[in-house]
Amino acid sequence: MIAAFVPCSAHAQPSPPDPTTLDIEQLFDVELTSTASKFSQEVTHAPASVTVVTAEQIRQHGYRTLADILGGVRGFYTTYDRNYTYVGVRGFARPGDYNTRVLLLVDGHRLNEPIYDMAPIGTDFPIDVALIERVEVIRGPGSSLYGTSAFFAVVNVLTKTGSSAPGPRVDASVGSQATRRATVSVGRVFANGNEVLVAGSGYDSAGNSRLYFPEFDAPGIGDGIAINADGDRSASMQAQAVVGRVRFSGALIDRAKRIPTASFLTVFGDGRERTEDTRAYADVAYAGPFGQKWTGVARGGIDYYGYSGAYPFDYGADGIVISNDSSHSVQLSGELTLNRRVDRHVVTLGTEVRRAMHNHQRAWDVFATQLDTENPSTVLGVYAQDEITLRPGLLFNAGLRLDHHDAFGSSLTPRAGLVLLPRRQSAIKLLYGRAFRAPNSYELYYYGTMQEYGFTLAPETIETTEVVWEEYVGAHLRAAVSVFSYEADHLISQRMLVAPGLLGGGIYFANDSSSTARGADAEIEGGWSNGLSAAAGYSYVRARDGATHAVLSNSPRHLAHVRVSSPIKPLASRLGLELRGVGERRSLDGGLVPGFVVGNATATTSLSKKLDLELGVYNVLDTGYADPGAEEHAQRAIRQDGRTARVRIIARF
Amino acid sequence: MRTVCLLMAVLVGVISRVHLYAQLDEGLVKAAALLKVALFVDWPATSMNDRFVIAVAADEEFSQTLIAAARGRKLNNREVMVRRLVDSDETCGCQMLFVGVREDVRSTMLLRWARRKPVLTVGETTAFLREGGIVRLFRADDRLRLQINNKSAEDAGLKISSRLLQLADQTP
Repeated sequence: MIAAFVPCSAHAQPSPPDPTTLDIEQLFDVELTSTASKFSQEVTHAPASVTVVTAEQIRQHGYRTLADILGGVRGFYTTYDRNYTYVGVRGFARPGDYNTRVLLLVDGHRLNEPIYDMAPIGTDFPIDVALIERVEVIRGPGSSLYGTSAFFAVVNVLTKTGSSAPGPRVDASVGSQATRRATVSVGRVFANGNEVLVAGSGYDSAGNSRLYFPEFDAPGIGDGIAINADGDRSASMQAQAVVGRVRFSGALIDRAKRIPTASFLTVFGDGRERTEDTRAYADVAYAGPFGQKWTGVARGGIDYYGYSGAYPFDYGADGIVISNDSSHSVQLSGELTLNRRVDRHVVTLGTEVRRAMHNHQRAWDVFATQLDTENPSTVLGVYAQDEITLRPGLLFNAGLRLDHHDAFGSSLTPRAGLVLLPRRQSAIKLLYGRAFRAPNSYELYYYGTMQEYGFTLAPETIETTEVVWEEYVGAHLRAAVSVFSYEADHLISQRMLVAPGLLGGGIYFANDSSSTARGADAEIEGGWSNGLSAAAGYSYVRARDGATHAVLSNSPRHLAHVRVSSPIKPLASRLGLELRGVGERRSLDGGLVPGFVVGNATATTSLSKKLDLELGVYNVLDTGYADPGAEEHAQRAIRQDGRTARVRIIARF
Repeated sequence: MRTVCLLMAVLVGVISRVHLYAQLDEGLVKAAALLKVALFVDWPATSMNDRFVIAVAADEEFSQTLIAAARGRKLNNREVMVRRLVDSDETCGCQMLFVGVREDVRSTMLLRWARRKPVLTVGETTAFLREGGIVRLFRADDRLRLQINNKSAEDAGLKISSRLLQLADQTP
């Protein structure tokens, strides 16, 4: 692959001019080398293992969704069931888990909604990735600051502002599977420093027009081919304004997906199975001083989430009947965080309240309404954290959060970390933490079995210990190594009660499983002043069921990635190459889904100062691979796309 | 596989044009811009000594870059001197003050001190301009860009030339 470009990059290059010899107009016109030659992160004092993905990296590797971004983060992997995309962290990707155990924030605003707790990371994520400034991935439990769902990791997406995406711009792409996407944004900075950014996006894809599922290739069922049943479309908007110390932001997305897999025992080949998700939020946050001695953030927000699903079932003599699911929630939230430096302490105090005013789930078909339940809820949290400088180069960080949920009571989550900074360029962290995830409305109320048998649920918990070592080697290399042990208890898992005539087919949820994961991961990344950047990472984990000691399903023991991005200077272009490897995973039936390596290549070039062109080829090796299915799938593994490509143009005015 | 590589190579090759300049390091361009910007600003005569002092509160790498870029240079026949501010410095004794992006805590304090004094304050954040800084240098779309708060400049008794104001993204 690289060989194809060597003749180009071997062209004689003029030596770069001394910038001090340029005149003032030229200075503000020359193209700057990539910031990737600087490290995306410094040795962090934060008591956690942190990875930052920058806008630069997103562009260099042609990432299309948040899932593309997260899939390249050390220890993370994604699963796509042709409906939603799910993220796995350090060996945990429980089938049927709608990303409930990763907290997703956009500019600090929580996106996991109160019904399913779902973090949308695929084409249902409301922010176009081109408008992401950086993504901070904080591994490990974050409940001591964030409360529920900050179980395996916290992902904070920071968006671009009027100053980082100034002026009008159009970003449009076309690609394989009749995929089209367009984003229009306008950013502006006013003379007084206030900023606004408004953007709108449309996305439409026919998906894979011909999908073969051997499970449905049988006499009497069909040939197993789902034709034109994979369509995906979304429309979204986002807006934000920074006025002095106050930031107003909001986003809206409606995304509809056709489902080709006949999940939940629906009729294969019917073509009407689909889900639609709508999310909207508005948030206002003040960041700045509170009185003479405190600084902090005060935030208020409102969220809407709506879902509808259509599922065609074969009712025998009554023919094929569409079963409908819908839910919606409206949630108000408020948070206050205060910081103060007192002598050798940095103290943080905070409180958060979330009130789901509407929390409604409904299921019906032409014959009857099976479910119609409204379950408002309130969560109140208070937290405190102290970072103490014990002596120069030695920090101790301790935090504690108490959450009260009106449905099941209180959870207390502590965290402690010792951060040793022996030299300027290295850090060693010893970390301990607990986190919890509260049962959500879907788990508590959706299946009639829960009420009929009086089953209740308690929060699930995790306890983790981790040692992190970060080191800068010379001027160009950075290395990070983590060794960790996770013990998750009372995990909420889906069970089936075998009894005739039960509503919902006898499915229920119980706090009845525990799991452990032990592993290590490492990454080395380099950036050089000629614009070349490279990274390689590997993670190893053994995640097992606490009772049977069997390896968990959808838990790869090995994950690896290699990334290179290099300028091709004579052509004013850049080439990004990436390989991602995922080891074999167990499917739910105990079989093995083979491991694979997928390669992606992205070439970007500047046609002029205002026009960029990008060509991305995804799964460039055309690897045949599959992700494990969940309980709702007849497929033990769901085949993923082969090679696809897209051409993208970005115009700035 | 090979077809795809070739296609990409051809596409990239055919449609791109050779740039006038190679890409340049952000730090070098920023340092050059700092020195150049000073040529388009008039200080009140009383504020000038025989040396032109630029105080810098920034990371090690950029400070060294600026010191190297300024070495042996003259601005309007005055020798340029770059002075690094240390933590205890509360004043700069300078004509120009650069505050790096990571110095947000000291930035407020330094700006408070520089307010209404004939010091050209240059920073990197929008907050810097809001809090009374005069010039902002920042990176967007792989170019160095400029913003100027001319009101703050007038308050400081500095006159910024129209040539520089025209280069700025937004000017009051």
